[in-house]
Amino acid sequence: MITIDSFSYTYPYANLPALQDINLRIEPGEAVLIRGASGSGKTTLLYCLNGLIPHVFAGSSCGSVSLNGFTPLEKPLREIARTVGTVFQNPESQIFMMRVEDDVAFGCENLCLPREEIISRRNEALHFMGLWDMRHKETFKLSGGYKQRLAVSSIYAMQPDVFLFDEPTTDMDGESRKDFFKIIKGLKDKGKTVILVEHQYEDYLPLMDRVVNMEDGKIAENTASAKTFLPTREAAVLSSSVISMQQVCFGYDRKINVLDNIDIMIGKGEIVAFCGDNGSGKTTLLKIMSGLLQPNQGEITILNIHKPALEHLVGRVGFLFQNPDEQLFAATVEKEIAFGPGCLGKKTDVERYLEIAGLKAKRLSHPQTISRGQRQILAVISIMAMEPEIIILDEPTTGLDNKTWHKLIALLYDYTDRGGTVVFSTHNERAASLAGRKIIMHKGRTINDEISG
Amino acid sequence: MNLYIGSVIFIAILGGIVFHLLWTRKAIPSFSTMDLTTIALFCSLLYITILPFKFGLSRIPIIQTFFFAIPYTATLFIGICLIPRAGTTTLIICGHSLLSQVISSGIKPLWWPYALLASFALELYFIITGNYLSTRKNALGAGFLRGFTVYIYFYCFSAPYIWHQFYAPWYIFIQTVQGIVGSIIGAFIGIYLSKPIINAVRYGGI
Amino acid sequence: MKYLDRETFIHRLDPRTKILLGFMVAILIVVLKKPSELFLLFFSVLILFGILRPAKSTVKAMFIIMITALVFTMISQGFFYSLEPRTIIVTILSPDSGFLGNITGGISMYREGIIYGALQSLRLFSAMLLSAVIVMSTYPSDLLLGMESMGMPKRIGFVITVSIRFIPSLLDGARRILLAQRLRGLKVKGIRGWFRAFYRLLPPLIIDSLRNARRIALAAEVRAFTGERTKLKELTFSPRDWTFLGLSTAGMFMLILCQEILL
Repeated sequence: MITIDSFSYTYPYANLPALQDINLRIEPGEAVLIRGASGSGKTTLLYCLNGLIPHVFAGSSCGSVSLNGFTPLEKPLREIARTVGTVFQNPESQIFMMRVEDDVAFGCENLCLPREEIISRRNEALHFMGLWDMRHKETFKLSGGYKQRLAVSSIYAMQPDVFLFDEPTTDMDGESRKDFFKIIKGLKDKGKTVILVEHQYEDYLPLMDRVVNMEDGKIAENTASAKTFLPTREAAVLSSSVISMQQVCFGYDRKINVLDNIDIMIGKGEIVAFCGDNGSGKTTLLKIMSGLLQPNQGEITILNIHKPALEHLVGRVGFLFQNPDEQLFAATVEKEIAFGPGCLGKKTDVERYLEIAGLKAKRLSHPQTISRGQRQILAVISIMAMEPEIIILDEPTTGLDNKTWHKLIALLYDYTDRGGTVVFSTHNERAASLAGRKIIMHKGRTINDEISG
Repeated sequence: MNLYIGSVIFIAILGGIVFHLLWTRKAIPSFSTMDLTTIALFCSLLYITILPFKFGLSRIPIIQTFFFAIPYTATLFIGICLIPRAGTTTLIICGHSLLSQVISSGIKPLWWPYALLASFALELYFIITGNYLSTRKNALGAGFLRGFTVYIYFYCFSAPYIWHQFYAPWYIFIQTVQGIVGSIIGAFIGIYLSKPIINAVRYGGI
Repeated sequence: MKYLDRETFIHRLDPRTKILLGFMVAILIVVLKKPSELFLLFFSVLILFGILRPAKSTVKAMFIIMITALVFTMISQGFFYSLEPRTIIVTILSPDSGFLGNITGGISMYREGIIYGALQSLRLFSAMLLSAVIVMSTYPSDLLLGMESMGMPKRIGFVITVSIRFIPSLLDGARRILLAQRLRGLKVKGIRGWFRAFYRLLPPLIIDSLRNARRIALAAEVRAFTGERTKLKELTFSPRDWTFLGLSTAGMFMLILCQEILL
C-alpha cells in the first residue's frame, strides 16, 4: 500500500519545486497510469516511491511518503529494492552482464541471497518472461524489445510487490509494444501493483484501473490529453522531383537485402512519413536518401544529381539522427545555430531562427542545459539554418511529448511552405498522420503509399 | 633484474605512502555508484581515444609517443576534473589498463606496476599540491609528471629489465621530451574541454 | 584478440589457473637469459596457442604483429647495442661528424645488435601469445570473477564490467557524432582537421555518455548494488587445474635451476 500525503519536493540547486502538494493513495494490486507533459514531475514522483529520492537525489522535501508502512528514508536502498522495482526507458543502460541468465540473476546477487534461492528465482523469472530458451544468449545480440524484457526480468527476479515503469516503451515498435502489454497483464494477474508512466499510453489503457494526470508538479484534474488542433497537411501538388529512386536494393552484407526494389518519387514541398516496425528498413532508406549510404543496385537521383556522394549533398540535404545530444556541438545556443552556416561560409539570420524556435531566452545557455524537447528543436533549427533543400529526420518523435512534437511539426510545415521538403521515419501512428503522405514499409519493401488528408 | 624488482618494491612503497597520507588526513574517498559508472565511462573513453592511433601514421616510432600522449592525457584529465578526488586517477588509469587487457591485448601482469606507478605518482602530486587540476599551473605540473614518470620508467626499467632491450641515452631523452610535451599539451586540452562539460553537468539535467 | 567459443582443455581450466600461469610466464620472461631457454618458453606457449585452434585470420593478425615487433626490435637493438665485441654494418652518423655526432656518440647498425634484438623478441612473443591464450580461452566475466577471488576489489570488477558494456555504444556514438559534424559542414581533412575533429568530438561524446552513466548508475541502484554480492558462479579447482599448475610450476623451477646451475 502506497500513501503520499501533502508531499512536495525540490531538487538541489533548483528554483522551483518539482512536486507540489501531492496526495495519492495506491492500493495493492492496482494498476495506475500516470500521464502528463515532459517536466510535469512524473519521473520525480516515481523516484520518491523507489527510494532514489532521498537516497541518491538529495534536495528538500516536506510531507510524507509511506510504502507498506515505512518511509523511504528509514530503510537503505537495498531493502527498498525488495519491495519496489523500477524499469527505466532505455534497456541498454539496464543490462549489466554479458549473458541473459547472468543478467537476470544480477539483482538477486546484489541482495546477497543464498545461491539456491538465486537460481530458483532466476529460473522462475526466465520462464515467466519467456526468456528461458534464450538464457545462454549474449545480451548485446538481443533486439530492443527483448532487451527491455530482460530488464523487466532482472527486476522480476527480485520479487518486488510494486513495479514502476518509467516510459518503458518509448523506443519500441508495434510488435514489441504488444509484447509489453502481455507483460503488464501478466504482472497484474499475479497481483502486483503496477505504476506506469508513458506518453503513448493508449495501448495500455484497458489494463489500467486508474489514471492520474500531472501538470507542473501537481496532480491535475482529468484534462484530456493535450490534443491541440493542428491543421493536417494538404497533399503537395507534385512539382519538381527532389528525390527519385528506381529499383533500389541495399544490403549491409551482400547476401541479405535490407531494401528490396524500392521505387519512390518525392516532390518538392512534400512532407513524407515512413512507418513500419524495427527492421522494416526505414532508417536505411533514409540514409540512402541523404547520401550516407550508396545503393547496391538501382538508380537514385537526389536534387538532380545522379548517384550523389555525401560531399555533394552537405548543406543541401540535412540529416537528423535520433539522438539530438549527438548533434549539438557549440558552447551556446546561438553559436549552435550559427555553426552549420559558418562552416559552409553562408550568412544566416540567427535572430530569426531563435525566434521561431522559441529559444530567445536561452540564447546564451549551453545547449546541454536546456530541456530534452528544446534540444530536439535546437538540433532541427541548426540544420534549418543551413537552408538545405531537403531535411530528413530519423525517428524524431522518440522521447518527445505531444506538445513538443506539435511545435516541431509546425516548424517543419513552415519550412516546407518556404520550399523545403521533409522526410521522416516514425513508429508513432499519430505522428505520421500529421504528414501529408504516409508510406508504410515492411521487410524492406514499401507496401502502402497513401496521401493523408 | 634486481633493479626491476627494486622498482616494484618502490612502487608498492609509494602506494603505501599515498594511502598513509590519505588515512592521516581522513581523506579516504568513497565513491558513489554514479562516480563508479562515470569512471567506467572514462576507462572506455581512454580505450577509444587511443584506438585510432594504434594503426597508421602514428606507428612511426620516432614520433609516435607524441601522438599517443595527447589524447590519453586530455581524456584522463577531463575525468579527473569531473571527479576531483583521491583515487579517481588510480581507478581510471588502472581500470583502463585492465579493461584493454581483458578485452583485447590479454592479461599482462608485467604491465601492472607501470600503471600503478603512473597512478601513485599523480595521486601523490595531487595530495601534496592539495589541488585537483583547478589551475593551469597544477595541470602543467601534472602533465609534466605523468610524461616524465611514464616514459623514464619504461625506458630505464621496463625495457631493460623485462624485455632486455636497451636504448641509447639520447634516444631516451628524445622520447621522454616528446612524452612530456605531449602530456602537457594533453593536460591543457583536458582542462580547457572540461569547463563546458562541468558547466553542463552543474546546470543541466544530467 | 577476442574470446573464442571452443571446447579445449585450456577453456576448461579455472581462470585463476590461467592467471597464475600468466604470472609464471612473466617471471620467466624477466629471469631467463639463455637463448635455448627462451626458445623453449616460446615453443611451450606456442603449443598452448595451437591447442586453441584459432581462426586463420587471428593467426595471420598475430603473425603480422609479431613480425612488425621483430623488425622494430632488430632495428632498435641493432642501433643501440652497446656491448663489445660489435661489428658495424652501416653507419648513419659518424661520431666525429659535428654536434649531433658528439651528443649521440655516433649512430651505427651493429650485426650483434640485430641478432640480439631477434633473440629478445622471443620474450615479447611469449608474453603476447600467452596473454592472447588467456583472453581467447576465458570469458571476460569469468576472468573478472577469477581476479576478484584473487584479491581484486569488487567495485573495480563492477567498473570494468560496465566499461566493457560501454565500449560498443561509445564507438557508435562517436561515429555518429563525427558524421553529424561532417553533415554540418565541418571539414576533417589533414592534420588541422584531425585536431578539430578530436577537439569537437569529446565534449558532446562525454556529455551524452555522462547521461548514460547516470542511467546505468540508477539501474544499478534499483538492483540493490552496493559492491557486496553473492556470486552465483563458484570457481573450484579441479584435478585438471592442480595437475596443470603442478606441471607448470615444476617446469618453471626447472628452467630457472638449469639456468643457475649451468651458467
